[in-house]
Amino acid sequence: MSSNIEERVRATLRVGVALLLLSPYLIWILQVPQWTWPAATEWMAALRNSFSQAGLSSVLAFIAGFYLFRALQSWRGSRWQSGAELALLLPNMVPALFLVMSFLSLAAPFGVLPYGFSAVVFAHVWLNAGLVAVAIDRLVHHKLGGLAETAWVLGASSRLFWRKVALPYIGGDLASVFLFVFSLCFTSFSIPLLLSGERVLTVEVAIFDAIRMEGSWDKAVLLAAFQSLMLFSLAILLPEPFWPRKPARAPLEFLVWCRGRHLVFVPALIVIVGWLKGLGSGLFMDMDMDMGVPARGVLIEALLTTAIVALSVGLFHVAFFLVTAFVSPHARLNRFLNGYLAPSPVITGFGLLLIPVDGDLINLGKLVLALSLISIPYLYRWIVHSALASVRGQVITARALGASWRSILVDVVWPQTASPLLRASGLAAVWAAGDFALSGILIGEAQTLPLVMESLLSRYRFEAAQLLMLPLVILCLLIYAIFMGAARYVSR
Amino acid sequence: MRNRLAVVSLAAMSLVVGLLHLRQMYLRPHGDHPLSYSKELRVLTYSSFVGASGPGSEIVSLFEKEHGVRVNVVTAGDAGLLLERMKIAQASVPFDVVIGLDQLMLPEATKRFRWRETFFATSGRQAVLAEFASPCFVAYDWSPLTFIYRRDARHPGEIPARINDLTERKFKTQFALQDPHSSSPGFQFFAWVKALKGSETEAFLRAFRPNVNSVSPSWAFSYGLFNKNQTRFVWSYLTSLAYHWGANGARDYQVVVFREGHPVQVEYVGIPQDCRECELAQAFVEEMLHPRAQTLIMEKNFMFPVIKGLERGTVFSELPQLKTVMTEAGRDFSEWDRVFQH
Repeated sequence: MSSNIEERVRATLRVGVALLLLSPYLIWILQVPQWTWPAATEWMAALRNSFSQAGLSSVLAFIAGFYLFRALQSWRGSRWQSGAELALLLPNMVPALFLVMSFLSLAAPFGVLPYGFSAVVFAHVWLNAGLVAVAIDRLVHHKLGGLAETAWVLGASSRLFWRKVALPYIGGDLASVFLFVFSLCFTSFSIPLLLSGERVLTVEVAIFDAIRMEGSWDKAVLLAAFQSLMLFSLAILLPEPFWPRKPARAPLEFLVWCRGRHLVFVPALIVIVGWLKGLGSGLFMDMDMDMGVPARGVLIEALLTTAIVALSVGLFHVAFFLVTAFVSPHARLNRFLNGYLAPSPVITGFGLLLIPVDGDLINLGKLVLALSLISIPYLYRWIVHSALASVRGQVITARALGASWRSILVDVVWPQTASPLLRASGLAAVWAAGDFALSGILIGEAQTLPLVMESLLSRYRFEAAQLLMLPLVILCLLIYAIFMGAARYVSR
Repeated sequence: MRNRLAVVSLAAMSLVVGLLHLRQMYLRPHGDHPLSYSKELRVLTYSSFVGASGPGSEIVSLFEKEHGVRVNVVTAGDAGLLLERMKIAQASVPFDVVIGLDQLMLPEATKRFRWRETFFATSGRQAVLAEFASPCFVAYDWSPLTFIYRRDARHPGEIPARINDLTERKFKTQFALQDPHSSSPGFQFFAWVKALKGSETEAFLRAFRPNVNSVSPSWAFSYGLFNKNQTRFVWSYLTSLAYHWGANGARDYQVVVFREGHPVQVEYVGIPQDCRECELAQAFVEEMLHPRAQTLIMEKNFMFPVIKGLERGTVFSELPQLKTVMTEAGRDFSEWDRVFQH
């Protein structure tokens, strides 16, 4: 392929990448005949609530994440290092359905399930503190590792090091991590809905109301676009985020918090204990009771459909990330991908329903596309961006030496980024396996495991639903292992 | 490296195609949809009606076998999204049958869409349903709503008997409700309070609020909390007792009986005016009223059938009879929002 044609293909693909992500909005723009901007009274309170909730949640997640980062240092170099990181990231990795079931199962032994603003903030801190800890860990090791050791040798206090060295040096990066966590909390929907106890009006809830209460898709799309634009503007104001991707092996003794070393496992324990408890109540229930477990045929169909959807979502992500790697580096596209926020699942799902083609396989395809459109922006910012940024220098050098873009992708970028790209795709597959919101809208009478669980929950069969978590968890682990196995194979 | 990328891509795609093939092979003997079907009926419903434990799949299969047609079921997540899904379908392929609207959704459904009038003989129907009859919609199941609780030695006799009892301090944080914005039973609770309290609805809700443990977005979540002993009373269907008494023999589950009466949820099936297979749609509605389908609905949806006598000999006939009240509510939740929304 000549260089000119290659450049043209890259330019077209860049536009394609942006259009694909924006497609839910574009479909609605084409379909909505008349637009009405919601009155300020309808969304100002929602905006205020979203800001205060997300602001407090992300500040506390940062504080907790900072201490967890220090606790994580004590595991550096030990064989528990990877396990400690996995434990910190687990709440972010599991589908929302798992978290809801864990909450329900954990509620009983600890008395009354806490409700209200504080419960919502606590849940967000629990979800995101580990993510913050790992992000700070990567930043400090890659950007401040040497400086931290020097400061230690020179006898500087830890506080002085953070104030005078760390914050001025990695302040911009920390702000990007903060914004990422802030946007996760800002757009969080199920947690405020389930744990607020009463009704807390957030922007996502206002979008939900515009759709369900008024049938005003125009208002809902405008609110979603407004939310997206606002977070996008904040992302533009910040420096380009940089999350180094490889963990360091050596601990930074200077920053270790030994007494809290076991705390790194707490976020994961909450998920696992909650799930095991639910599983236990399913396994040891009264055997005389009619559990209402669906017929084997339904379960096999659900298992196969879930596996197909999850694997396809993972593959879609691999293809998308490969295309993004092919068209990168490109400053404007990178800015867009780092700031863009997908619209809510209902807007995306119903947007795809407007495409006038139907059928079993087509609906599965729409579901795969919808799930991908929602998870790609998060995974790009969380994992893929840093992977691509880490090889940017080599790409520029290879290009200066006359390598074609195709050769750069296959021989330079892919070998070094395959592992994080496949990890991100594996995560997307796991999230997709746990979806029931979009599946319920898009795939008609077909069944997935989460839909079977939802059906059981709405027919009093709580124990049976909890029991079905077992095959779902096994399937998720299997799918993630497939992607990790592929990563190991291609990186060998 | 290039080879490995190719190997991984090929292996992954083969895996997906293989699973798809397996699924199709597996579905064929169960689905049994030969290409010779000349007609297709498009049915819209909420996902749990045709879900693994719902009655929909069996009713659909029976209808397909008897009429030799294909029924294409489209789902809309939950009942609250049915009308939005219909709006989208109007632009492409309209639906022939819509299942799952309740009586509080009917005014909105009638305002936004045109429906065919349907005439079915009403003899042999439950008398209570006469009040809920509609020219365009046919009721297929129903149940009064109330609070469910477990008999507990720690709280002997402390059961509300009037709506005003709900505000007594001894019931502090003991009630689990659902949000009327997102849940049909929650909407019914609000409509019931409005029907009984009229202009004092907001004052009543304010007095009741300290006794509310939680307002959940869905019935399933609030019932899950009740199941996990997180709350003493949960707003639910009278027919919830049929599950507890029948499926797990737990007779300690009871309902609160209010002297003022109880709201009733009636679920309807309707035929949109722009149906394409209107006669088949009519036949499908008839099928839903057939004792066979009604029994399925009763056993799997845990709701009363609309045909009299089907519950005889089942746990449904042992359920207490509750006085019912008519409820009406527009979708104005401002009184609720002023009390329960921040």
